Amino acid sequence: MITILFLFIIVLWWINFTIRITQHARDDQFWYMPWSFLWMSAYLLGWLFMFSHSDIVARFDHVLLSNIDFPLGHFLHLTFVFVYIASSLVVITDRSTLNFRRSIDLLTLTYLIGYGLHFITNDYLMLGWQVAIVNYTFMVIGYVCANIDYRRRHRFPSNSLEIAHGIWYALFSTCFGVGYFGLAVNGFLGLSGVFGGYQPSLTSFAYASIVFGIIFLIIMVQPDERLMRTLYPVRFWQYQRLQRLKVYILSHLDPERQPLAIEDIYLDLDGHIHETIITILDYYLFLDDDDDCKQHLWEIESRNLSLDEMSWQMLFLTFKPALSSK
Amino acid sequence: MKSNSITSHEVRFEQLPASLQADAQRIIAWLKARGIGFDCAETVYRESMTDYTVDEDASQRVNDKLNELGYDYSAYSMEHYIAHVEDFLGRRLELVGMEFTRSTTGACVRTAERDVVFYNDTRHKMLQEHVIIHETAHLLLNHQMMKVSLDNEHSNTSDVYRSLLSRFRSPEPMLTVRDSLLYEVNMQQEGEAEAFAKRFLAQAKAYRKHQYLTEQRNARLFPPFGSAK
Repeated sequence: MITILFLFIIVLWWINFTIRITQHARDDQFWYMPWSFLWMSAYLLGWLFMFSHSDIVARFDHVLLSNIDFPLGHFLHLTFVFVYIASSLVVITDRSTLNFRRSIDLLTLTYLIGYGLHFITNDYLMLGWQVAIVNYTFMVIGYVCANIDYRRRHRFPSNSLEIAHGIWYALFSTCFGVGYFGLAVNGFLGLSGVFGGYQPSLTSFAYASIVFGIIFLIIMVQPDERLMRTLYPVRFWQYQRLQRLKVYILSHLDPERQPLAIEDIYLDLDGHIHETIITILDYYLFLDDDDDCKQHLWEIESRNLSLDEMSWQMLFLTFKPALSSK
Repeated sequence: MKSNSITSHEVRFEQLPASLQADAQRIIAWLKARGIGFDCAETVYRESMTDYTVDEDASQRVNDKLNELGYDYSAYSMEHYIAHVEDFLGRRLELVGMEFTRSTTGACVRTAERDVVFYNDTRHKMLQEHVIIHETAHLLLNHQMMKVSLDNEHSNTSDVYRSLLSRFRSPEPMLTVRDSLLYEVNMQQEGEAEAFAKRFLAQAKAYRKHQYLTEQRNARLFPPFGSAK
């Protein structure tokens, strides 16, 4: 069942990727950074995903190299893991630090040792899985460290597009990380014989997690306009929060200063958010000077952010809903 | 529907809320400094008055005017919009940024040779943009202007500056008599101008957003890449 699901998702991924890459190949901008690197990374992930399932890898070897006892699929898989980890570290982490250089050196050494051992012994499969376990574990640790390092050095996503990409990226990387960690753990159990060896349920869970990861990656690489629509529930929640802020401000005004209560049915969600923020900007200056909300809104307004960025900044304001209006 | 024929909407300068008096003084000083007279404002004022119906579906008036305006939202910029409104109205329209009190986000003034839209340039650019569209909506929708009569003290004893034909965008109540027809007309016209600004900007921003997302081309696919080339 999992194998069939894997094959289905592989087909879905390559159809989606082919469509997107042919769209971008017609675009001159595609040949520049960062797009060229991003899409090559996505391509690599597609191959990595394809060779993650042992049955698929075995069939691949049988079809291509039926007369030779050589785990080509396995080698390709390890190569993709190495290249993907290394490129992620190169891109995401601070390349000037010693930790970064040590990470790359350690990763390369692990990879070369693994390949070397394949040629020294005849036990390809066993050592191949040992190297795979090390690489999987390294990938998870490296990925987590890279993301922590990134978060430390870069600002929090500030607009809707960054947040949309950030949410799907977090889901994709979590599922991939959990899946490969599961494979690593299961490989360790199988090799060591601890707890009875390989756990089929853990294998299924790991593969399912990886499948979800690639689905989230498919969503993430959709055109930005389509991707923004996935953010609609979050944006609706955002609108509700802004409405509560607006009500808080208006409840502290003199009744004579209340704005016109006109519901406009011709506006979409973006229009309603815009309308709410305009009302907030119109009236917050009439709050008491010792109101923290007023101070924070003044700071937000002073930064001259875009409407989208302001709407996210206003979400984190704390205020006590009014018990009764004046 | 109620029909009305409001023939005057006149207030004395002293009847304005204190904060609006300060802002009105700034406007008058600006106009005086440029020698822009109000003396022909009466003519403009008479032209600006129409029989106005207070009805429940005022939004239709707004939609009709937006369609009649025939604006190309894909080309939107403030300069482009102002040029388009000037062509539509057949009158010169000037934008002036000014430091107002918190009570005033914008105002529009009709003079003999031009219309002037004032906006509070100390506030956020998004609010400035909204205010400018709101004020031009009053002109496009041919809303009733408020005639602020200036006594000698405020007009500097010049007949040229006897009255200010204007409209203020302010949370301060402009009229004290709440149950008058004038109040109802004023409130509905403010509502129409706000609706015009919201719908116009919703259209303009939709085009801008589409253009921005197309330019991005998934540039933010992975975290390190924060901006498009």
